[in-house]
Amino acid sequence: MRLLIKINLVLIVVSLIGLAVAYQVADRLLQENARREVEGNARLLVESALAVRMYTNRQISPLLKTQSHYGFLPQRVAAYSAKEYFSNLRQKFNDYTYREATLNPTNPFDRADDWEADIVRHLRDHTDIKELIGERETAIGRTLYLARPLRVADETCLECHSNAGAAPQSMLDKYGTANGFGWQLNDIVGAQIVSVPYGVPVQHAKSVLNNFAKIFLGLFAFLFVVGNVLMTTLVVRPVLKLSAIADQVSKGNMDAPEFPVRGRDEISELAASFNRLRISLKKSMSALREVP
Amino acid sequence: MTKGLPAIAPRRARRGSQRCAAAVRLLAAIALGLCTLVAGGKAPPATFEGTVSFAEGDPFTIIRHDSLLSGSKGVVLAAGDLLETAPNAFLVVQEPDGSLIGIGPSTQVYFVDRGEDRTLFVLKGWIKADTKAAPTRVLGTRLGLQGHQAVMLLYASEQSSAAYDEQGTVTVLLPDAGAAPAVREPGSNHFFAREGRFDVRAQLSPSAEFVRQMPVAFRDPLPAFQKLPQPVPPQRLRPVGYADIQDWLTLPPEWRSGFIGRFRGRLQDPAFFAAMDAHRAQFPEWIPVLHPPPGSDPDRARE
Repeated sequence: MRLLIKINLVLIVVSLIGLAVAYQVADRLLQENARREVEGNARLLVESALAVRMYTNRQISPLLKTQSHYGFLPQRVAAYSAKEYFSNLRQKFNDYTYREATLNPTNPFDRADDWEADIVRHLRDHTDIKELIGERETAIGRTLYLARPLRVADETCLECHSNAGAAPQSMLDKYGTANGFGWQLNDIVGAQIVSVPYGVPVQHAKSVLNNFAKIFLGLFAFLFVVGNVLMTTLVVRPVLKLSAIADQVSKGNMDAPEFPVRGRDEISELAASFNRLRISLKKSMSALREVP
Repeated sequence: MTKGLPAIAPRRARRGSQRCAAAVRLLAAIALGLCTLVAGGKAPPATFEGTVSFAEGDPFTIIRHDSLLSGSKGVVLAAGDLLETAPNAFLVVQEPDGSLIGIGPSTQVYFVDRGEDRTLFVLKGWIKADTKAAPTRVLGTRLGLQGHQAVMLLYASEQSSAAYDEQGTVTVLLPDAGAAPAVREPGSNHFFAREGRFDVRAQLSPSAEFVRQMPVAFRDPLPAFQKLPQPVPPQRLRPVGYADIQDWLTLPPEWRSGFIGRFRGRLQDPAFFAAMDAHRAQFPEWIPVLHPPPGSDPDRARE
């Protein structure tokens, strides 16, 4: 097998192995990075929702207190504000969801699904847990959820959720007396749950990885071509030429042209050595002819 | 004495006048103290002297004494004023004690000047009263509320009245004789309505109809201003005519007492006299004034 082919084969095999290992390592690093990015997004969304709730409780609700005598205003309710904020966000980021999943809500729409109820119960049973992160498969693919307990931390919550007798009439007119009562101070009544799709960051990571792989392959191909050209020009052709001259000399043609020696690399040294050998051989053969 | 210089009284005469002034002051203080004791230590009666701190829409009119005036933001109201707002108007009157009176569109309200508790008689329209220091009565044609440190709303029309205590404890007042006595309702959020002479209907929370018709501005607390506008005198338009007071003459008799003395002077206007005479059956107390019996003093006609 010719030298160039051997070298090329070795290079190809080694490059492929190296590329595969690098791809796996990079893939794992990027996946971990994607998960961190997803968690960061989820945390940011939960904190945003909490900020909206705080703004509503501190600034909006007191301003609308008098109006609540004349009609139920959901804008006074922190949970409504958070959900509306998220609803607007979803118009552009519709794979993200936010729920205030509650076991005994006033609004039936907020009642916890089965998996949400499991989370709420888990948070209730482990009050030291401030945040729960997990993954689940959904219709849009793998999603990460981040859940935080919803605790009755403020006595003002009990204005509407202690018993029907204390709640505003306008609220009872809208929601009735069957749901959303019996809450007590410091109870965990539900959970804020943000669901963030893995799809986008993972796809992003894969895209980055594939781009890197393409660049690496392209670079390898370029180096491969350049290497082959150099090998051919600097090694293979001179060796073949030297081999042709050696053939002629071996057949007795001492007048075969000398191999030009250019430069000071190994091929030049080989050529210079061969020229010297040829001169020595010629002299030796001349000397033998002169002996009677 | 030297010309141009003030006369200098002798020293003995100066001391005498000073002693006299001190004695007068002492006597006045004693007299005031005795009066206070006799009066049982009661505070002087509450009166109206609020400033129109907020005015939206067309100017309102005031009947003060027997003149028709045009009012705007900055006008100081007085007891006895008969105020009427335009269909697109909303006013807030701020009393010196911090009490606030919101007056809705197309509202006729009488700031009663009887020297007792502050009383607003609403002939028609909407009132929201946020009372602070002084108890206030808000009366309609069929029922009213009295409250102290309370927020009360009242709607009145010719045939019905509705009232709501948004905040504080109020007493329900029934103006017509023979009706059930006043009822005190603990807590707030009680709504009362009365049609004609039927019994008062009471419920928690205002009715949907009441809320729908209520001026939207009444859904929020009445605005209180740290700094009141510069006082502005109302603009006198003309003496009142019959058309200006004909609605007020339909007030229940006990509430229109004092109108004879107030508008008697307008009888000199032939048009006014003719109109009053034409409708005298509606206010019989005016008959002796319009047609004094022979030999009687028309100036002393009973009110």
